Amino acid sequence: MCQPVWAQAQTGHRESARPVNRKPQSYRGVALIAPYTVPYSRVSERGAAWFIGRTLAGMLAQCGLEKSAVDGLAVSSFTLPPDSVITLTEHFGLQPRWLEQVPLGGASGVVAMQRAARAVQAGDVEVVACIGGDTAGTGGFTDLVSNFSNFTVDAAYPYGAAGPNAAFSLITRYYMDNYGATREDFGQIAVAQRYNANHNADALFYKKKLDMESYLAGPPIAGDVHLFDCVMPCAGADGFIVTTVERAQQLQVPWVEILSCAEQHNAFPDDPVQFRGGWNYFREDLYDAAGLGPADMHFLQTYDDYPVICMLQMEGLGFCVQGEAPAFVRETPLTFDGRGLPHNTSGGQLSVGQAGSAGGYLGLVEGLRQLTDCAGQHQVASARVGLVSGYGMVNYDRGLCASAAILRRGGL
Amino acid sequence: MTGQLTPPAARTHLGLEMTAAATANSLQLQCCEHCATVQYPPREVCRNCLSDQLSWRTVEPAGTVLASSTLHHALEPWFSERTPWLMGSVKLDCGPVVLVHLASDVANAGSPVRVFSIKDVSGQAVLVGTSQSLALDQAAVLAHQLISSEPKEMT
Repeated sequence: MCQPVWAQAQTGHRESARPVNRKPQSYRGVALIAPYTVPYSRVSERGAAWFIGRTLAGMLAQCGLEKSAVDGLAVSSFTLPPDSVITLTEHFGLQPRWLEQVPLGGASGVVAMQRAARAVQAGDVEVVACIGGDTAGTGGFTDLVSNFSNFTVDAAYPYGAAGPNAAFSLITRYYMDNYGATREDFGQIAVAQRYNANHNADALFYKKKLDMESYLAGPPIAGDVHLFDCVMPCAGADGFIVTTVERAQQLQVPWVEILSCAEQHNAFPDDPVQFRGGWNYFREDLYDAAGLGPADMHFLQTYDDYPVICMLQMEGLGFCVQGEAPAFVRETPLTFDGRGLPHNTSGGQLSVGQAGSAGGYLGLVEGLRQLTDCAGQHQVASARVGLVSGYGMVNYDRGLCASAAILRRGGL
Repeated sequence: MTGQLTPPAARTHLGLEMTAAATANSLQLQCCEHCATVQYPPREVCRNCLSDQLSWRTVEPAGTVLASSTLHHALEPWFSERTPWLMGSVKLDCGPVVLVHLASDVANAGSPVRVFSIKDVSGQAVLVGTSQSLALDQAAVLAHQLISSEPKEMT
């Protein structure tokens, strides 16, 4: 079989001086089941608890579990306050013995999965529902953005009140200046994702096509960031269940296993502008633990709040070397059926929509669908192993969180 | 109606301290009394040594533009009436990276700039970057003009 172009890419050396003396234990015995999405909508009158609760109901129906079997709950949501994971237990009538709330934006899905997996392995809990979900009312986005953090209030929002578009336009400009990326290169990512979304009936842009000409004609929003580089804020939720392989087998549902995963936050704080992230710290350990390399991945789900961030993840996770993602996306088909590197196979946030914290679960839930053969019209043929990456939380001028997981179809 | 609009005035108590410290024609940032690290955005404790002995001091205002961006869309009406609006990030010689309102002749990466902390129409201090080649008083006038511009003609 012909090696894909990116198969020669090296996994590269560790870019952190931090010694890692302890290797994490394996995730053997843990099963991920029941990927579920509450279809997204542009705005909603409902509260965040509706989206989270209906996701829980959908997941349980999908795998045949009773609500009383759920003894752990992990949630991520920007619009849930003043409620929280504990108030949801009363709202949903749950009696869990393990709770987690992961406020890490686009890194939340993998992080919730990792924490739940360790708790399941340790026997502290057996069935953990992990859910990211948010509602979206008119004007809610401005409220969220203008008061996102103390640094945002004092040092970012007053400079044009453009929200994340401003920070990411600076990161985009710096990347273009230093690595020669063009808008067409970013367009390769956005156009391929739209093709994927055109095969996903849950995507907000399911019926809207996007070609390169239309992409380039998108009106400017902030600097080099134009309309089709931006996500559509919306309401929705995504979730999955972490349990034991034994329980998954009892339920007779397909499951996915974790070969390795990692998180790293506030990496490279002295880089003047973000051009890499936590993935560059843990990449080598991530692949070592899985016994695989980037060339073995049948798909890549990145956190795509803006195309430039997909490029940072492709580089940080070793699919190409630093600075060469523009050439990589020109040479590598990114569609689910293009036989290159299937990337953001549901359409990603750029074409499905960004339902707040659900955006941090969307790539993982899509990865689970791919590995359990339930991705329908956008199924990657013979997908057995894949990589899901997370990124999140712009506090000031860069995203602070990074996470990633290598997943494999269970029972192989 | 238009006359009542201002740029975002909300600040934390540390942002209010920055406004109180702002002095004409110069740049005031928090400095650590213990290790001398210059801080930005404003903090409760030092990013280097975690000391809480942070004092607002006049610092060297020179820096270099890292990237700039022309904003075409804003979430606040005051800015919406004035787009396109130029802002950028600057690496200060004294350490921190600061987001600033930027003069158009220093939009390119690598441009040497002088950064002022001055009060905008909302009464809160903001940072403004202008060319280092301007005399101090000219630069200060330009910085004030940049952040108190009239709204564009609405058609």
